[in-house]
Amino acid sequence: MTKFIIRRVLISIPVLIGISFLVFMIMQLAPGGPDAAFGNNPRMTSDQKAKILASWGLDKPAPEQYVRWLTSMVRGDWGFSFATRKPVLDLILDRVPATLVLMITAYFLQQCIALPLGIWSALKRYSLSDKIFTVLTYIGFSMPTFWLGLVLVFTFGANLRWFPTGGITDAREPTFLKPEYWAWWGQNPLVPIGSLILHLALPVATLIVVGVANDSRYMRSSMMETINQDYIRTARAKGLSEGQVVRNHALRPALLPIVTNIALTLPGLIGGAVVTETIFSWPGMGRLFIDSIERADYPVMIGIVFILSSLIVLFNLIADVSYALIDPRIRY
Amino acid sequence: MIDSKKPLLTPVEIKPAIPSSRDAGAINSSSRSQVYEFWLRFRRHQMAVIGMYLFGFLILMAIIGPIFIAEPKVNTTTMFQLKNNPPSLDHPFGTNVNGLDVMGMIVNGARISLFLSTLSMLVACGFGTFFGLVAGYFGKLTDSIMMRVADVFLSIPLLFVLLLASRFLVTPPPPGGSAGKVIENSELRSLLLLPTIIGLLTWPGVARLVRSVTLSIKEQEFVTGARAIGAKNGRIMLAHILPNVINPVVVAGTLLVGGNIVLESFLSFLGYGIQPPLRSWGTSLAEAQTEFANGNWWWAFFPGLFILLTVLAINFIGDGLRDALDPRSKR
Amino acid sequence: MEPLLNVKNLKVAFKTDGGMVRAVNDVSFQLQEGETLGIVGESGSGKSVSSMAIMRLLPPVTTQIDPSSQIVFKGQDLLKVKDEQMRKIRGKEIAMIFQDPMTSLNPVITIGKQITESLKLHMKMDDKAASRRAIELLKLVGIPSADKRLKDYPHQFSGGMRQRVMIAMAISCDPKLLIADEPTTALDVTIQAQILELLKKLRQELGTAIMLITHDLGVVAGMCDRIQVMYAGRIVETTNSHRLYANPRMPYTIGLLNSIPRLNEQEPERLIPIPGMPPDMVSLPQGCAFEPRCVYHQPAVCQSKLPDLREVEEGHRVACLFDITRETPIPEIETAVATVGATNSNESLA
Repeated sequence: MTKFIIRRVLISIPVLIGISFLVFMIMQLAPGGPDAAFGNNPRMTSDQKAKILASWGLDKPAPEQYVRWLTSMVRGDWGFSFATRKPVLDLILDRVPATLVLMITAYFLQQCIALPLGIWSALKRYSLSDKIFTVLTYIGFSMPTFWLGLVLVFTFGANLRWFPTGGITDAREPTFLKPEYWAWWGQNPLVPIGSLILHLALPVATLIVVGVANDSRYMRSSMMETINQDYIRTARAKGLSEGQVVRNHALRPALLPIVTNIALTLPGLIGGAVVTETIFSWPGMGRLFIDSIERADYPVMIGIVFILSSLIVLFNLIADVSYALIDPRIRY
Repeated sequence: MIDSKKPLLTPVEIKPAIPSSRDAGAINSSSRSQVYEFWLRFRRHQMAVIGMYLFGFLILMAIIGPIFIAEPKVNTTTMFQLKNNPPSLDHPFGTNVNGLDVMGMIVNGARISLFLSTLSMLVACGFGTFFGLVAGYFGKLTDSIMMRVADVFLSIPLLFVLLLASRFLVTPPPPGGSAGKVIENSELRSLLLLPTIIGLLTWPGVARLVRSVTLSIKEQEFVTGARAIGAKNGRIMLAHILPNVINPVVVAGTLLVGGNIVLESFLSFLGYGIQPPLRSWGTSLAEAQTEFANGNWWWAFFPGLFILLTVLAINFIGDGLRDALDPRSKR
Repeated sequence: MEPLLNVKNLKVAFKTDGGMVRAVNDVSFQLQEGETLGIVGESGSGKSVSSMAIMRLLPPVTTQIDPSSQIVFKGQDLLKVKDEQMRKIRGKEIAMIFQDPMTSLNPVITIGKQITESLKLHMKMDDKAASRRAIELLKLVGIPSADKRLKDYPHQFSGGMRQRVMIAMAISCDPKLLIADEPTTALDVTIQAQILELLKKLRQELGTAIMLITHDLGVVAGMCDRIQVMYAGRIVETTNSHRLYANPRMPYTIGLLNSIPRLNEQEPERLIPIPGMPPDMVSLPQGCAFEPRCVYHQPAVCQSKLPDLREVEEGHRVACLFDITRETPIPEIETAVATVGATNSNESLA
């Protein structure tokens, strides 16, 4: 069992290296390279440019660049933003909390809605409500998330004014995570909590629609497959009520594949974060990424991609390991 | 007892109602009945049939629509009158800030969106199938290495890397930098290079699918039989394994087109997808954003609605295909 | 004496896309306490469906049971009792074991839990008492180191062991009737024998009535008091086991017996299979359902009238219009007979 985990971890390492290589390649392929960032700045002489390029090691041959870059990334030195001259790592870490708040809330809510929904529709299969559910889920995962975001902002934010149209705090409220922000919490926690909830409502709603649609269908099919198994027939033959059969015999086997799925929905949420953060002006990593793309700010872009890829690799690892832990057939 | 020398009954050729186990593996029975059977199963899916009609309508609209409804061009005389008109009889989907008919934009943009998604799907499926076949068939070290490569692609945050790649390889470079290496014309780049890039980033899903099918087919007897009569690896892969792989790939490909449409429209929405003067549904949404805030919702709403309907139709069809091609899969 | 189980006019049909499948057509039989009944038939003969009907385990929406059918168990018509009542009977008074022990046991729950579940449910035992009883049961069915194995999962047992666990689970609440649906089909021949021995032992020690369902005439040979043969949803022959093998009267049974190889044959003779294919359960003929495959058939008579079970000797009933025995010579083949062919005469039955 531990061998399995160790092996799995070891496999992840070449994957991470591969990702870093891929990212590096794209960086190299980009027309103009870092030069492009300076192309707009007429005040730089070619001497100054050359010096900066040298300090970044950009004048050395590619393989050497790669190694230097990789080692410094691993050591925690992620360089400095082209645009703002601040350390990349700090820039990114600044934005992480906002994205985290959004994603964790969305993640949690998504599972809480999708799983019971999927189970319920599996047990009520082929009934009218199930058919309605099916159509709704199809619409759900066929929907372009950003369009939904726009519609929600327009309807509930601008028109009905039930929710704010963006940001994590209003203009009048303290900026997120600055010292004043915590003081605000200290005064009366209910106010900032309320504000947070209001601000989270629309982005989270946008984010989770697709996820709920997908996950609930997955749960439904897993449950349906489980209910048809022979051992459910045995459980019924023992005289258990249908409720007992579902709770004690069907739920656990049906949830097994979902555990893996749960870990794997993270990449989807990450992508979705870009969408929502753009539309809702959320001060998170996604927005930072978009901004840095705009400004050709390589170090920031690379840093973000790096972090997210590592997260995805980590979660894939967790998915595999947790499945092995939960399914007794693999464990023993 | 019974005279064993005399045949009991004169054997008469009857078509077996159940295909005998001798029709090993691939579908070798007469192709006419197979296609017909597939159609029957597909037809039983109400949703798939609806999807088919819907998609057919959309394709029709994309192909011949532009003949009837020309690409809207700015008309300086009528521009101000027509500016931001809500939906009416003349303009069922309203007009945009430049006085252009939204419906016209939708009809004309359809082609681009559909073309791009299909192209990227073909790239992904082509490459993915090849990859999966080779990996699954040869197994062992080849398989391990190839699958690690696939894992790398699967572990990247797709949207991010896509934006990265698109920004620097597709969209016009910032002033002063060098032009794209491959194709000069930026709109052509977005039309051809972008889907290729999308395909090259989305192939691993297909590859995994193909690999697992290959792995299971590889062990079946008719493959061993083919080897026994001296068939070469390539021939086995093409003639025996590929036909079985096609079905799940078709399903996956169909669903991929839907996903690609959303992907492309988001890219265009951010400005890193289809480049002007080409127009897709995504670009319409990008332009319409600010107007949305002003209360002129139709410009942004309808293109998005059409994206939704197209993807919905594709998903319906994909689901129907899945059940029709593999009757063993339970609903 | 009042029979333990009295099945009257059981008719079960299923709604399918292809039409109404008449799985069980007017089946009636009785089972006394402590008796062992063997039900033999090929796939599709309706034997499993009958037993599932007794347990009321058939899927609710698509199943149609004729209102005139009755399944009387200890004086109660099981088809008419409420669900709650039925649940008290299932697992406690009537227990069932199934064909494939690997898929019939829940893979993610320890076998200890699966056994104690019934005990806690029906016998209201607490944890400790239930565990102790579970260990006793495992010992009874011959599982070594029973106390250690309670915490094990089904996949940690071999096929034969798993079936024993199933049996332990089934007899845990001392049922009056044990239905065994193809209990040995998924097992090796040597294990088969062991399981059958176990069932015999349990029958002696506990006095449970057993309904043993199988397609294999060899399995029921040493085990059953009575055997009934089913075909196309009806009982076509029923008698005590000795007479069935000595003097089969239904051409189907004769055909079955002819297709079994015997170790004690003097001269090597060819096995004679039953020609043709199983009947289409959606459109059953008006007359005898076996007629197309029967070597003795007389189309004019056999196709027109549905044979009822009639008594040919004491306690021996047969659903055939004629008096056929093993010695009856086969009538001459006419070309009109060759309406049903065999695609390959080497196809055997089971």
